[in-house]
Amino acid sequence: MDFAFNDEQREIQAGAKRLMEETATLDQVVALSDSALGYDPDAYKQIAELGWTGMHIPEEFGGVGLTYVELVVVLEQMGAALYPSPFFASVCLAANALIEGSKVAPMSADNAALLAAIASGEKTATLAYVEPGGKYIPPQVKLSAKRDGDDYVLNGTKSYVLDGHTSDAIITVARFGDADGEIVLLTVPGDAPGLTRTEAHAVDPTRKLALLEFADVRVPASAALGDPEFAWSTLNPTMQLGAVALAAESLGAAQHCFDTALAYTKDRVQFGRPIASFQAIKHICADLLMAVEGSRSAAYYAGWVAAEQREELPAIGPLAKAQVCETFWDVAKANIQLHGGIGFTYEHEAHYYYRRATSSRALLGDTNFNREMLLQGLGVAPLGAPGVSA
Amino acid sequence: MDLRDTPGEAKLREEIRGWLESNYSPGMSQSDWYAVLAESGWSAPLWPEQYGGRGASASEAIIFNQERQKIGADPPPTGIGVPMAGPTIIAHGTEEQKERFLGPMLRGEEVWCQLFSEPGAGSDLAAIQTRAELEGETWTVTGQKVWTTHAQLARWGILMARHDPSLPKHAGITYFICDMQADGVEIVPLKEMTGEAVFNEVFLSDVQIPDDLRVGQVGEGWKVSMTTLANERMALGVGGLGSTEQDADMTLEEADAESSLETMGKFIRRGPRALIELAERTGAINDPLIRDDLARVYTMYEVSRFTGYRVTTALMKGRGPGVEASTGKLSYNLLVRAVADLMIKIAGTGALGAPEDDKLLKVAERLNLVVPATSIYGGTDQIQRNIISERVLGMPKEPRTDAEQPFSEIKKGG
Repeated sequence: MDFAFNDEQREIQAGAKRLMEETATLDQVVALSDSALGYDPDAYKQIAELGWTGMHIPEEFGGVGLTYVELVVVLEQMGAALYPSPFFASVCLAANALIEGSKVAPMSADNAALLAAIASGEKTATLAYVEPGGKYIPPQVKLSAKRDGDDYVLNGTKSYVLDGHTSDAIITVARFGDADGEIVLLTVPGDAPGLTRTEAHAVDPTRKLALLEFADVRVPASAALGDPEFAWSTLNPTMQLGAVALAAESLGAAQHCFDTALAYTKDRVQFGRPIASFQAIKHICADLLMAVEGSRSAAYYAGWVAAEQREELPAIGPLAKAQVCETFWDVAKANIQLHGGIGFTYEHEAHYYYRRATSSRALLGDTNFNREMLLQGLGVAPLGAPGVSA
Repeated sequence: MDLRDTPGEAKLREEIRGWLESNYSPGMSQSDWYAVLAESGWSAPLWPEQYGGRGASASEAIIFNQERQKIGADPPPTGIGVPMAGPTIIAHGTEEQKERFLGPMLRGEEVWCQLFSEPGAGSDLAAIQTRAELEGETWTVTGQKVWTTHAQLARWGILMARHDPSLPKHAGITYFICDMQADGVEIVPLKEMTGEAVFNEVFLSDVQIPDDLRVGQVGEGWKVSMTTLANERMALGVGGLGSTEQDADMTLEEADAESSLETMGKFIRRGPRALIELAERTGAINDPLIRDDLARVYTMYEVSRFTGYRVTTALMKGRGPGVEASTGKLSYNLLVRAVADLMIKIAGTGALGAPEDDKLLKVAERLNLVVPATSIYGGTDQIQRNIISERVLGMPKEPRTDAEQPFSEIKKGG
């Protein structure tokens, strides 16, 4: 048994940490989140050259061919720095949708080219799965995809699309029939006629969101990923893999908040002694340590499950997401509390982490939703299923 | 990162399986099994060979434990002896003490108990007031000890006593081995809130202890006790939680089979699936709040399992367990309380009083009455948080007023 990073993974980790220290100081992060694009394309090229954008993508698809564990390693460091980048949307959502789709049905040439371009960092893509009103549960997929000859014609709205206004392509969940299962995943070019993309207000300025309005947007049938008549078989594992990635990113951010808060309690003197000497403060920190370490175990284990494509993924993905994002939320709150007055000023970094924690908790399904997904991943019948009252 | 066996581990596992096959048979008496274990060094594989161990690596010990569990063989003698008294005697005892005590301990022939806590010395263990006075080669010990598990079965006790109250509190303590059959040792069962008596009070009245049963130097008792307590935290935390995959899948039928204390312990360690099955059986699974609780408790179990892999990895690489082991006891307590709380929620009105024929509800009822103690014994949750924050996080201790002056002059409880 070896539940630890190997030498190569530790090197990637050290390199990622260094790069974040050089290119993602808080000042740089704030400046980028104020910029029109929201990220630095040159910096994105740089991480692409390091192989991050193709890290876990198989070589046959133009990737580097490492595993999800290496992806977890870099995500943790990006999370610690609140690194603003389309990386998450492109590599951890869109690329996974394409890879998972290819396990169900062969990829079209266009989709294969998109995946290779995501891997090389030449293009970015995202996944549009939420609509106004909330969760990505079957009844809430309303964006319609009507067949017209060899094309699909899309009408409707997608909300809270990560980097949706800047992505080169958007993988969109759409309904083509009437029943819950009848959905299709389609790749839509960012500049498709009829698609209106508007940057949306985001509580976390380091994570850009967009509202996408589809008015008779036309894509060819070859834009479909996976099973064009039952895209859940692609979307579900994509969301589970996304959950693992978000857990890894949130772990880094949670650890950063904890380290910052702990260091501050040792420096800050009140009543003639460091506040770290008060048991009221120490007990909070002990609890946070346990939460962060537990979350580390969960995020790394989930990374291994994703890398090995183990059958546990439907349970472990949501488990890790709920566990780590709740911890991040607790630590981000405590970070403000332990800093006292300075902690709730705009100039202090704490609120950026609090905003990210708020955002990460709601992204890819909130905590209650992911706990329910965990149960269902263990084989528990959903509420409302035969024998289970709703 | 790979949780499967390395080729070396797989080979080791084969060898250990072979050993178990030729040395264990299901009908075996416990004393025979203990004798086989002790003879081969498997009672305490990590101990040096000359003291009855195998000088084994952590990997060997862990794999042995996993394979032993798989075939349902009893664990080696546990309690206070092998896990706590043994390592303390090895670290601080004389060669004569090692020669005399370790063998019978490993064979399970002699049970041990711990004479540490007193009515006035709970969390503040260094405040013990039991006196030990030396005359010639013999100590005379007088005082009261409490929370002593298995005192009535014990042949020997590890004892902390104050040899000099004029010294500061930590400096005036000496560590002994106490003959539980000696004159002046009186054992009174202590009935807990469950209605049962797991613990005892032990009254020591002019008990004579020869100086050659002193462990460590006079005045080094506090230092010696640290070895014992560190091993206790390990045993209650990491040791208490199974770190093998097989541990996490007890079925409802197994749990149903009997509601003994042992089953309850197994249930706590291995129960997440059984909790879900129980909720399905009672219909509580239809309650969205119960579902959320089930997922939360399941997550706590899984996080413990994953953390166990980190601890195991560290041990197998020959490193001491790090941060993740220090938090073991506290996270186990939090888990046990969450399990108890959820079980009685699932029980619904059954929590008013479990029917005699419903063994699982009996477990729930009993567990609920047991859990308030778990966050107190072996160091309260609050003391655990102090330990974590001071030793792991490097946070400064609270300023104290009792550490420097003579013990006789400070304010005491009791």
